[in-house]
Amino acid sequence: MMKIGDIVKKITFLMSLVSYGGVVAIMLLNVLDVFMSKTLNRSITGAYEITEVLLLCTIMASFAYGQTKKAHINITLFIKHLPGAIRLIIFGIMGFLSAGTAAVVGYAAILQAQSAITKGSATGVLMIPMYPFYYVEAAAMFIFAIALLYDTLLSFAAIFIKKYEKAVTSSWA
Amino acid sequence: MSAVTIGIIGIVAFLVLIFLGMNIGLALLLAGAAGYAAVINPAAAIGLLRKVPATQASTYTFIVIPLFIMMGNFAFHAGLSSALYKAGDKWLSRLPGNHACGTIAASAGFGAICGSCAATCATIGTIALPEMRRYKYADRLSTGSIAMGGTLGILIPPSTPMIIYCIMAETSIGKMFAAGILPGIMMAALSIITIVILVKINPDISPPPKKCSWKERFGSLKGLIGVVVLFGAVLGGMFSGFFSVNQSAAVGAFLAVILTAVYKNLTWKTFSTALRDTVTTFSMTFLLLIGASVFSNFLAITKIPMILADTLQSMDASFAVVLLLMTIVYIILGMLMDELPMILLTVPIFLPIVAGYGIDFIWFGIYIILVMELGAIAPPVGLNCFIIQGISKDISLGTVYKGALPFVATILFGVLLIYIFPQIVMFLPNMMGG
Repeated sequence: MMKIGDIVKKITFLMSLVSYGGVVAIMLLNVLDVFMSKTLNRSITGAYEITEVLLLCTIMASFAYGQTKKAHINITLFIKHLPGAIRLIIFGIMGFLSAGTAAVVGYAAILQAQSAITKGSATGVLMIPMYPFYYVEAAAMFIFAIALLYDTLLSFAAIFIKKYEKAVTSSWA
Repeated sequence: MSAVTIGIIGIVAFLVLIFLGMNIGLALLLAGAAGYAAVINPAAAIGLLRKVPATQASTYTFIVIPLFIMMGNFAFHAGLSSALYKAGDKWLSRLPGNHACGTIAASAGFGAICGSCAATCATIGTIALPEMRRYKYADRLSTGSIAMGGTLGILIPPSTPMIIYCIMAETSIGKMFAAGILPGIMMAALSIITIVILVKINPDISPPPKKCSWKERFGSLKGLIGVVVLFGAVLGGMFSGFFSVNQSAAVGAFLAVILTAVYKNLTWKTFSTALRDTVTTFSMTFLLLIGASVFSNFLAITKIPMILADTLQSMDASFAVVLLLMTIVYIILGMLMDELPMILLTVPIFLPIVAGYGIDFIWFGIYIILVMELGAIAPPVGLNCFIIQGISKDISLGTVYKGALPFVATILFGVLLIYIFPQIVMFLPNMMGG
């Protein structure tokens, strides 16, 4: 179980590097754009749309990492008062629903990418094709779903193996 | 089944899911998409999921969220908070409970460069709590003032909840930021007055003030250069019209990184820690934003918000009564969840009602942010109280809650003031015009 956890953490960490790089790139691109527009009176061509596609990748890539760092918000005020096995089963079911929802969003992103290929969707100025970014969105959502699924499995495993319980409940407020 | 019935089932299902521990962003997504499928059809719901997440995560205006979060994280690592605390402490040294008053002033200053309640509370608390314990302040007073100071982080711009509110309400972020300044100063002043009153009533909770010379006071201002530069560039640039809000956010984040380097705090470790905290915070924020957008689309097709607004108006209910009901909803929700989910959940329902009464969205935004501050310091959640208890484990949560209690009254008084005198909120945005 922990080996699977390590693999999930490694994958989500790699995804987080996309987000780290993305947010720094967005900042630098926009600062440069401001500097150029204020001093040279001309902007970077397509800075606006580069920022948008960068933002898409940055945000989507962050979800799975946010899950491994327990950054997403869950209200555990009520279930934490339930008896051990019941609260773990409920939390596991909720995790399973969450993973399913993330996977459906990933599937919808694939459909969007296919539609973008068919229609030849591209950005307005630089004509950057949009479909690769929708595929990035799909991949990020599937990895997010895997991270959620791992937490779900951990919840169910914790019913039988006590040492996993702390890993599940440590982030509960 | 009618759309309204499906809408009510959707809202109930969402509430059940979140109280059973489901991730709030994904619960909004699931309830919203399932409801949309039930009202129209599953293909339409998939269509919604194809467009909404990508649109929300790639809207140019939204770069302000990660960039202001980044600015706050680097401002923390730059060490600006220590300088703020020292200056606040020295300038308010003549007041009873001067360290606690200085904590409020430092929190207000830090709130001007950071948009988060929790970050302000943790940052100032880490410096102020050991200091106040050294001077033998009662734990109740020290923890209460830190908890209250933390709430100023979301009221004084830049503020993440304000940005999210503006996105939901489709209103000007710049005007909203301007609107937060006077209420922020007012709340800081009211908090200081509360501390002075508490010390006057019970002098044992604080040592006698140790007066500082004017030389010491002016000397403490040296450390504030970084804060002035950051605040001046971001808010000054924005309000003067030199920068757009997005440009201000980019320049602010960049300056915060530079200041971290200037103050010799920029190491690989601080850089990666600040980026990690930035990524995890905006990850949580955007997942909520995407979920709320899907859920809002669902609510819109059920027409529940509009029906609710029409019903209230046909009942001839006065706005004061409606506002009181909304305030009660926020106080209850504030006991259960953080400010961001609260905004995302309630704003799509409440805004049509507010619009029906002809109330300015900027005023309403500041009002609800002020009301939400109660949730940050009041039990059973009171996020700021948890943070303070995390800083000093030997102080019980009960003590922290007791310390925060007088400030609940302070916030309620502030809420009453902006209701009676809406100019406190609207004066600066009205001056901006446009």
